[in-house]
Amino acid sequence: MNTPCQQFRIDWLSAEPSAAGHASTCAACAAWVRGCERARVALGGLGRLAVPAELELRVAQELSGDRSRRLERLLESSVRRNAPALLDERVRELLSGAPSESERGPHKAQALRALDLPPVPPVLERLIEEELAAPERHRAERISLGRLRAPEILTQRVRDSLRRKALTRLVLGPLLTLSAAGLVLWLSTRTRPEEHEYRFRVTQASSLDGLDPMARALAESLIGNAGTEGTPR
Amino acid sequence: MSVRLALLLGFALGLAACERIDEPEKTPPEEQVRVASPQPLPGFARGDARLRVAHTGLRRLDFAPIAGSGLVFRERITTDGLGHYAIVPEDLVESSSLDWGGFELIQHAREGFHFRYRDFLVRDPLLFERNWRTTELPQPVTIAGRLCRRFRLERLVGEAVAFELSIDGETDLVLASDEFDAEGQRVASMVYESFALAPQTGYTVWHTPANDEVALDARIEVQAQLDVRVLQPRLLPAGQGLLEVATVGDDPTERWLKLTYSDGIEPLFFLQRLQEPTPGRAARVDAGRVGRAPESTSGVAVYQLGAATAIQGQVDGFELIVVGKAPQAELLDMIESALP
Repeated sequence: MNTPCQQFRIDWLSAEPSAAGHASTCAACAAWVRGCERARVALGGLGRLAVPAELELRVAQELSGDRSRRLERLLESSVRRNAPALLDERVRELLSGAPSESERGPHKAQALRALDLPPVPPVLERLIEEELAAPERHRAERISLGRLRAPEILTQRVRDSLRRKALTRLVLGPLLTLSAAGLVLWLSTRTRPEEHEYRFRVTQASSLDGLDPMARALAESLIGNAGTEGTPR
Repeated sequence: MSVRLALLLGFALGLAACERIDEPEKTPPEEQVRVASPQPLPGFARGDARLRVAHTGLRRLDFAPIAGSGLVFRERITTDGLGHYAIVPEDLVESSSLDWGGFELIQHAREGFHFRYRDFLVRDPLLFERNWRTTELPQPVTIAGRLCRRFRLERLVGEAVAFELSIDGETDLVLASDEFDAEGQRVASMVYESFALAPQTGYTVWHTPANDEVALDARIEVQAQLDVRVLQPRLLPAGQGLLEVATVGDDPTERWLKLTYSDGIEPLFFLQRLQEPTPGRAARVDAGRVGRAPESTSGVAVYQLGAATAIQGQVDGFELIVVGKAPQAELLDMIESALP
């Protein structure tokens, strides 16, 4: 495609008024314009899709900043391993004979089976088992928003609404408050840290006395606190 | 329980549906802010200005109380723009229980750590860009006589902590910073009260490391660079990435591997004592252990210091310490994921 045609198409897509004349003298660009217009009409006729219901849940999950996305986090943060050189070698061996399309699938499967696959980290197994054991609990955690503060505008809006509906407020206000309090109470009890079974014992220290001086210095320096002992590494 | 919850939710939602929802109010133009991302990184995120700008300044640091009173003090920072620095405590402004002499000694001992890890710094631009939202606030401010641009940084993964910074327009130095926790409460702040470029440094005692830290190549497998078996976490807290790998220790017979991770700003440390695992202490783990009491003889202790969590203990014969501003459960997962 030459430069005038390229320039014309850029201008046409940008709805530049200067892009009017070229198509009348260039058959290729005229056909391109007709194709684009057909695509535009076809796309314009498509129905608009609704936002998936999951979006709201995912946004709430992100905003809550809790640790409910542990499984996804596990997969996202796993150290990416390069394919071993052995894989390249075996694939090259298997494909060097230029097998047909129907033969490639079994060849690849055979090559993958022959590799020494690293074991799945035990922590992944535990996290999946915990989630499968109590899916409702994990789902409830994801929609917890207890740590977010309500914006001022929400307070103002609730206040205005209640003022306009004084009668409704008198009847429903206490009930709504009680329901909200119950919901918050339930969520707060449901979102307490889970009791996990780690491969080691976990004890909560009641004082800093047993903490290694180096660890103490690191932690205190991170938060700006000044302890009485220890030097950083 | 689930039936009660369903009834409660249904009732609350039914009540909420009776309320009229008004049109959202428009934000006044003067409150609108300009979102800087995904434009090019601001200057303060493209390196450590303290290392290239020779300057000195008296700064006031204010840390929220953990238990008891908070801590407010002044310190003088001096840099030569060539990598040397000094941080000297000047006076205590507010603390009900701290002895100044002891405090001064501790501050001197931790001088290097404060410069490297306590002060606000974008430690990894890529992780910073991925994990933090940067918003430039509309009104510039004057700090210690310097005109500063203001930025608000909000973490997008993990706990929703935030920083507000005042950045010197000429040098990109951070002249004021406020740190907020997920509840929006200010937990730490720093502000320069005086500032001067190119100071006389003839009498300045530059920081010299008190321990022998040997940096390793983070691009090469750590195990290949050391003689003893090392652990590397495979599950990191949200948004974290590897920043530095080093060995540290005052005593040649007691060295630690220090893996430093970061979300772009906050550091997180995973330390392993460099010795072969103690024989006979390896945990025996049943494949179907979930739901049963653990059989391991290994154990760790968890210490909470404000926003920071420190975990130390011996696991499968490895002596480990993990310190960072991350939830305890994520740090425990991190330890477990490192085990062979």
